Amino acid sequence: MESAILTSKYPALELKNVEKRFDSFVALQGLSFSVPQGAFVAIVGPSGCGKSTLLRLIAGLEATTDGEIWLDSEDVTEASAGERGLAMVFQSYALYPHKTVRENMAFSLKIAKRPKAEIESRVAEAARALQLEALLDRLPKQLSGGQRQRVAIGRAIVRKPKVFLFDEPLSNLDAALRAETRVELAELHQRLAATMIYVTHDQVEAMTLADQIIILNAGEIQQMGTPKELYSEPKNAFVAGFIGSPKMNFVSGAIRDATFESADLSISGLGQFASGASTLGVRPESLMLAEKDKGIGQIEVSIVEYLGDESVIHGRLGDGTPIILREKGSVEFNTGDRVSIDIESIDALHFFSPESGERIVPSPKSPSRG
Amino acid sequence: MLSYSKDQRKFVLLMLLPAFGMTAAFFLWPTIYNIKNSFTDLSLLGLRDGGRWIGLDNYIELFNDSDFKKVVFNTLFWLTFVSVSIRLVLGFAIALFIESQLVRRLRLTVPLRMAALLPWATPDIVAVTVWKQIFDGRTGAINNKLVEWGFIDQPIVFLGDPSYVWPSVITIIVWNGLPIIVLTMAAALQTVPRDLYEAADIDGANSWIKFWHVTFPHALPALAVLGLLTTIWTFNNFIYVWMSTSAGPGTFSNVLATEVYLQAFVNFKLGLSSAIGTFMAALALVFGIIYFRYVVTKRFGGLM
Repeated sequence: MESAILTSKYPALELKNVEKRFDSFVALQGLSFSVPQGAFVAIVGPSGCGKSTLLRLIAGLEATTDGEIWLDSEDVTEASAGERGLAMVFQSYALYPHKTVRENMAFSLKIAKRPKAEIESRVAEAARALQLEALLDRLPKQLSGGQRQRVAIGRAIVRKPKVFLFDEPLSNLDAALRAETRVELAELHQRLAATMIYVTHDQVEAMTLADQIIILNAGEIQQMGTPKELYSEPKNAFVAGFIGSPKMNFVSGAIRDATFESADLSISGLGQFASGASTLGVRPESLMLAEKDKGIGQIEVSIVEYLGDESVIHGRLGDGTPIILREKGSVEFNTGDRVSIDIESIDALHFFSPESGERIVPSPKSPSRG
Repeated sequence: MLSYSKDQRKFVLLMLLPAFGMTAAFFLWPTIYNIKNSFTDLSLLGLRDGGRWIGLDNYIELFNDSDFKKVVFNTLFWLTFVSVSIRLVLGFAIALFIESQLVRRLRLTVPLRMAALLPWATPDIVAVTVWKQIFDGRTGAINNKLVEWGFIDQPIVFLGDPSYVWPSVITIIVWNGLPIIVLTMAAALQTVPRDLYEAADIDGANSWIKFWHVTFPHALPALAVLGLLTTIWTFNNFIYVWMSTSAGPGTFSNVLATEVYLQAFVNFKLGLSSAIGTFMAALALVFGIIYFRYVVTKRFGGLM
């Protein structure tokens, strides 16, 4: 596959203060970000956060209420979907049911009145890349879900678009096929070196595929960053809770004299954090079992999920706050057992302001960081 | 495929028997009786004596009669082909308008669907009677307005003038028969996935391309079924022509259904009338077979 030549000095895509209202409902607000040439950017968030609307604004399927959208060096805010030169893979695939695979893939080039020989060679090229050659004369209804998905991607590739847009492309596939296609998409991105914007509600897809992740909630960007940044330096409690599976544990309490105290937990040695009311955030993988009456506190076990290489222990603190922890191997607990827990390291702890939800950044001169 | 045991099969047959009996008594027997009569010279005045067997004479008479050829032409071309084509094209166009983005944005979709229903709620006899008054040569609303606005000097006898009679009858049929096309096509249009229009937008398609590559292929099965059904319903319709023109002026707008009536109850030739009826049934059977093959065997090509 011929790869796009990435010589442009402009970002592949840039949004400037984009806003979208439906009547009085504000779907998206003050969105500004830019996507470098060739990047793979995932947009994630819970359902109703506006991520699909955002993708449709970029695609030109919805008009912005305010703000500008730039593709490369062009302001496309007012341009129609067809003029933007993008390709989109829909959640439903949206293949034309009356056209064969070949006709589906060739349709946009035909509309653009490209020479016949060029259309044929581009379709053949894409079909080879996606192993669709044997299916070219079939109708979509004669294909499996996975094959339809590949045709939808093929239809996008054929256009050699400036930017690929994906709207939850894997959500109609079964788990095994989803994992497989995820890898294929990552390979495709490398081979084409094209810019890709990918909307999903699945944070695992976002973490594994993307160079950059945008986390959206209630129509606003919570954080944009690399998967590693989002995981280890979440800007607020929402991001911290959204990234990572199982979810981060949150315990409300307060830091006083370098010690975090809640109804059931006590963690000392927190000199780098300012005193005051704060919510502790700690990931299940940063918690571990401790010897009886040692560690930071006790939980009452409610259920244990055994996964083979590890066990996920669900429990509650005395005040009912749920706690999840991951432990290597298998554990033998019954419901109602009280077990002591500990933290792996103070560096793995996050504290959030109970009012704003913002993460409280530790002071850099902390002694524990040496 | 479902399979039935012997007992189940018996039970199913038993349950079907009453309906089959009714059909046989009221449809099958009259059909056979009619075919038998078509080979006789049975007269309405000689019912007691019965008819004499004359073989194919009735049919030979029909096919050698140039007036009958005109009746067949009137039936197939004017009554059926023209009125069905206009209904399909106009009905589809109105459905497209009702389901369009513009109408949806103005929130007029539902009121317009309701309005489209109105002519359908009017029984055909009532519709024809009212239209007859509207078309009337002396007191009709259309003539009044045309004269008042100065388009014509003399009123036009719409239903009595050979140059106007078919357009006038077809106007009545279209008005009365349009709603079912509009509503069915509107329903068919609602089943087109919106994603496809968006995919076509991204592929750079304009409205014209979207219509031919997305809308039309989705609408075609419904359009084909409607076309066949309306053809069958219109082809043997007696009311429209008889109520509006009584096959006139003279026999200018005579069609097969009215010819059956005229031969039987005006000319008293029951045998000949039966032959025409049999001929009509044979023609209807052709449409029926096409319809059956299309709908039952192809099952709408899996698209509806």
